[in-house]
Amino acid sequence: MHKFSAKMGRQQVVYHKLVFFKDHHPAVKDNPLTNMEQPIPNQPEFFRHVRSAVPAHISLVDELADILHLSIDSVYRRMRGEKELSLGELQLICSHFKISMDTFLQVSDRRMSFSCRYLDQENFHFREYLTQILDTFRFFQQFNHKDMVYLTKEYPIYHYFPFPEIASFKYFFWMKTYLNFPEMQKQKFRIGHFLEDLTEIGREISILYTKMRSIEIHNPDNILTTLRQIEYYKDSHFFESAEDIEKVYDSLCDMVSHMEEQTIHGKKFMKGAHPHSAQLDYHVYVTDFYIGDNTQLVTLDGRMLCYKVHNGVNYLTSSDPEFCRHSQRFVENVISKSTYISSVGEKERSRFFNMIREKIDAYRSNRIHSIANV
Amino acid sequence: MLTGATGFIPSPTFNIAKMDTRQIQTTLFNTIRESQAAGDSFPEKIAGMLDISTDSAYRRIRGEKELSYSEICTLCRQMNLSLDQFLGMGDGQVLFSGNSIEEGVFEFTDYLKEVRDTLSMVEHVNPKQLIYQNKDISVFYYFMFPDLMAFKYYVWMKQHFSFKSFSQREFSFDLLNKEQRELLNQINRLFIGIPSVEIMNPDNVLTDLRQIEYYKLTGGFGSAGDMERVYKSLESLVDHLEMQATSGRKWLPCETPDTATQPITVYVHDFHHGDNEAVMLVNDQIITVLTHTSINFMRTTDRQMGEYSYQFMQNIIRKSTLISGAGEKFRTRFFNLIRERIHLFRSNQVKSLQR
Repeated sequence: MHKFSAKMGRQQVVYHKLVFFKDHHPAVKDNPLTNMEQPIPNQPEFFRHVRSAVPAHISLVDELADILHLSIDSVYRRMRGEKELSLGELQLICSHFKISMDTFLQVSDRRMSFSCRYLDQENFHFREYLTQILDTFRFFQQFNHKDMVYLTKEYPIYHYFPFPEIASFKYFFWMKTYLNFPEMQKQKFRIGHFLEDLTEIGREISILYTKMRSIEIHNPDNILTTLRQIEYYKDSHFFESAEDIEKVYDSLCDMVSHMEEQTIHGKKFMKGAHPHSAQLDYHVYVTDFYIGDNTQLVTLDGRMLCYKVHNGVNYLTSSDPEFCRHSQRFVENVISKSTYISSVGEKERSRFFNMIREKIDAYRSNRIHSIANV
Repeated sequence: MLTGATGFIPSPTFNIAKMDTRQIQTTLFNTIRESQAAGDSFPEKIAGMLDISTDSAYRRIRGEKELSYSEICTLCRQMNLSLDQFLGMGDGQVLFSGNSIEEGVFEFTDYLKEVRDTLSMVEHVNPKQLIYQNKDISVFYYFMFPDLMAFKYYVWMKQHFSFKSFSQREFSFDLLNKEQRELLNQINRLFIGIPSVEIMNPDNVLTDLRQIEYYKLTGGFGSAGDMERVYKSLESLVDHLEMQATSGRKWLPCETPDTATQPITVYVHDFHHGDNEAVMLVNDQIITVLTHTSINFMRTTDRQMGEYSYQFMQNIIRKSTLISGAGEKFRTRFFNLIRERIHLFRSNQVKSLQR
């Protein structure tokens, strides 16, 4: 049974769903802004900071001994502050564990550190990109408390993965059109092109995605990008057959229906699974006054990570507390002005999903065209 | 080397290689030295901060003795230096700088100052070019139209950032104070001095229309007349964009086209809802600017990030249609499509979540 009663007011629902951030994220409890009056944190405090960035099951001492080429005893001496770290050792630790010293020291001329890999055909192919997402979700699974919040511009890509026809269309579009992969330039889209390996990775990601509690903030315009991409390929004759176009539309409709089904139950489950078997909450808010930017906030045992999409489907990751805290406050604010449609709000929910279906229908029946074909 | 549809070729001399420990230490001391007042003894200053002898300070400055954890922390804290920029944070790490709007901490006036200062840095540097791929209409155009700007300011402070000082405040066209209006004028003047390439989408206007719709349905406008002023201001903005695209030059709405000195190149497409991302090509550097949480922005000079973003935009451009200085039929169609949208929202013919 859903933990939030349908009788509960919306404001109460908002409070309950966001309270997990405040309980677990230390940056929310106290203002982490620069305070030059604060004493410089000592070396044992630095190692406690490093510890918080590593999953609990990993031995920090062994890891440090390995990267610093030191004995276990020597590592312990450093962790206890009996032996000072050198600049070289500090650099190795920060580089290995992606620790920001600016954040730790709270200097005001601070930089926000983001990690990223750039999708390209030679160095980081789409298969590796998907595998990295899969590995990231596996990493999330190592934590006891894990939640994600998604402020959408488009639908989160995890929604596409269980639906092979629309998923493969998106894969194809990203590689051929967004990223200009040379191997794709002469190809037309055909259903079945990528169904074997990429679809399997995508399906695994989707399964893990259903194992995390989620809040998503949707917009009725989220569907537009995909519809325009289909339109672009229709205009450019990049579909191998008219039948494939219909299959892609059908698949998109199935995806939207499954999203609606999960929203009705307020639970995440895979296509075909019984909703009552689902364990984890799926909270959906809708708004049309702000189009998101595909920012995703993930909380793992109290530590927050922010994923920010750039250049199409590439993403930057940061654990910078100040940046995460600001993003979280912003998302909370958008939520407070949005309508909650999971489990409750049948009228608003039906209207929202019907608006999406109307848009699909309008494009499918060629009542709306791309700008190239108005 | 970067070459692309926009025709800009910055020199490829800027290069960040991963530094070894000694180089990091030397760079750190050089940075501290640059910030020192003329006439001060640098080794004595370091000796004083670290509570060591002048000889010991010399050994550290020359890189003969490696700095320790407490010494590094002391120097960075006392000099308020970013250590991350020296350590490099490892492969695949990009350092961004920027502040985010927060009531009482970083107000809208501070935000405008940061925008102005960012543009000022490149004012006298040549060559330069700003390339922008939009999700929304570029904020620089809001800044040029006072009625629309007043509305956007109200939405940003009240809706997006929940400023307490705006919670009970009603919308008015006089919300911006004198200092903010002056900053906007400075930004406008700097912005039209930069050659730019804009990648637009007919959906860029949707956010504005939905925001007006939200206030229309929630009774947020003081009068129907106020709402009409905002719609008219938005239409004026679209007219100005079209005139600029027609001539391929940039100028301020309050001035005449013959004052324009810098070019604007406009491409349109509709298959990618942009990221509100910009790259600024400045002499031999690329500055990447990413927008986040509404209108906040962060920037980096990371070369790899800049080159990737630049190439991504070049690719979008290759699949887009040029409408500035050429393509009259397509340009007219594009701007009429935007006007049709405005008309549909204005005449209540578009469904919103509330309607």
